Amino acid sequence: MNQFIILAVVVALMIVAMLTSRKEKVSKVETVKKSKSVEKDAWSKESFVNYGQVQQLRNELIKATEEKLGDDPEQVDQLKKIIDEWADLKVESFKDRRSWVRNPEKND
Amino acid sequence: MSDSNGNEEQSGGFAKTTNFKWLAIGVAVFILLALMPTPESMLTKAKELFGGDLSPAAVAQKAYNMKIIIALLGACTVFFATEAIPMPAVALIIGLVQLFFGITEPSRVVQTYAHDAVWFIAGSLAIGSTLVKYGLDKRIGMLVVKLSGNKTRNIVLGLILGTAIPSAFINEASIAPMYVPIALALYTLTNKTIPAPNLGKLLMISIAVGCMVGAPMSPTGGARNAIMIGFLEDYVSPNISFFEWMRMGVFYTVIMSIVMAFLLPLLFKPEVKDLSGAVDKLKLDLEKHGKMTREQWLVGAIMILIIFMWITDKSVTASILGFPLGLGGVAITGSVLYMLLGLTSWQDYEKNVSWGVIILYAGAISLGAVFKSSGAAKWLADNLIAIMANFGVSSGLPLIIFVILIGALLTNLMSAGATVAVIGPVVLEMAQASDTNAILVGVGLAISTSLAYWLVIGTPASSIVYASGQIEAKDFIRMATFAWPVALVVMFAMVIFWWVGVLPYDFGVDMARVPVTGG
Repeated sequence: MNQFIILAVVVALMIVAMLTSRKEKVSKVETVKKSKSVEKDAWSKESFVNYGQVQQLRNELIKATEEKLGDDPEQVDQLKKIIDEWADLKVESFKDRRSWVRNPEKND
Repeated sequence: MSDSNGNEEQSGGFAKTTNFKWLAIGVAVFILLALMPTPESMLTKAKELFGGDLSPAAVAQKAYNMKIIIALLGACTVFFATEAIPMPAVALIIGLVQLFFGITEPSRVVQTYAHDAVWFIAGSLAIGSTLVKYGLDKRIGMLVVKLSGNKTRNIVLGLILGTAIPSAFINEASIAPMYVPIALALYTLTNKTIPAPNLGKLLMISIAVGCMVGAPMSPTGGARNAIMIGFLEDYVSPNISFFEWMRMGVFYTVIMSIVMAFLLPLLFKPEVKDLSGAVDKLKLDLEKHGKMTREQWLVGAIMILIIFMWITDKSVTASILGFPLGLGGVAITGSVLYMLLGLTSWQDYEKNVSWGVIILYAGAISLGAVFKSSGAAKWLADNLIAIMANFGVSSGLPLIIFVILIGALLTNLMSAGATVAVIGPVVLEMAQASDTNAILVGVGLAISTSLAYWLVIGTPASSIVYASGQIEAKDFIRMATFAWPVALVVMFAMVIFWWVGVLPYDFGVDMARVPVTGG
């Protein structure tokens, strides 16, 4: 009789373990889902511009800089560098939000 | 291999540390079973298995060993289900229990972990990682978009087959994330003009279902298949070959793919029947990827060579060399070939292959080996058969159907690999004790563990598509309510009409194979 009680307790513990652990795992996947959703929302609020638009803006900014600060070549060079870096970052962030389908360089 | 190698959120107990609550429960299960008085039937079984000339003390020790192994199985079930401790640690505990309780000699304990199936798992994971490294998985996705046409129903069939076929050879945790962007692109491009939430659900769930129905098709479809082959080694000779497994599993994959391609659009009625606009746009994007490179062709060609070698190992290879290489030998040949040709490096293997998975399944093999050699499997199987005989399910087809049902249920509570690891040795012993064909029982169990339809965490692929945000947990339940019973019916039909009706198998012992005996 004792053996049956022990076996019943063991089986009950196993069933509880199986059922309860499922809930814990589901809540973890829920967390992943939420974080992906937050990331998606953040992307959607960003102002994205494609490669062509970035180049157009970059050229306009450089032109304006040269026109207005033409007498200070050192400052013009510095600003050009900053504009170039900004343009690169914009293009990168545009590419980053895309999956491998639209971004052949993306690995995942 | 489907049960393994996921990213962080799919790590399945590899990135975790100890959960003390579940550890305590696992230990409690072990202690309760270990301290239980040794049943008389265990003493009788020990005497029967290990010879009547043993002293009563030696027989008692053998029976005690059986009890400890049963206790270990109970604790492992809790650990596998809850992932209370890092999974590879469970594998190592299996060996430690054998050592600490004097069940296996220190010089022999490592041998219990060694098996061709372990090489097979390691080699398959390495080959899969190289295919992913060169983006061949994406090429398959691109091919699917190219061939599926514009009709929603055809695209669903394309997604199911396009995920199912690679899932039979590559880890599904690599396949699903590659298809999710394709499905998302099709959905978002359509949703811009016509709101189509059902279309999003349909496409996403097709990916998860495809991965689940593809894995049974070949031994490489999941580590569970490999460990079942490892277990079968102790029960039948010659063991099941790669080709035999494919021949048995292809029925389920093909029929379920067709059935689900009809069923899923009924459950998630798409708002749009033709996706021409979205497909055309997607094709333009995919064309930017250019043509296959020389390296991609080479990696693909070696993969095809390896599959050919797996299929013909016992015929062509055996006739050339005079002996087969074994599934593991072929898999390791492929993974080494990739390195020799400079296509990958050891560092890539270290980074992209989950070595924890290999240790875990080596532990499962060890558990199976000691379960059989200690006589615990025989004792448990005989007792279960005696109980089940009262319900008329102790042998033949009823036993196979019962095993399939248990596998299909348990896989929704534990991972597929854990289900096979825990109950595989028991059901094979039951098959042997009841003169039922062990191959049908073993392969039936392995295939039934692909029916993890009910929960979003059922498989890594299910979790991945769920995390994409297009589907809810209730969508899985809705799908499973219809698909799970249908899959069971397909499995029963497969056993009766395909395995026994068409293929050369009987429900009883296969006389062409020598049953492996001994405890």
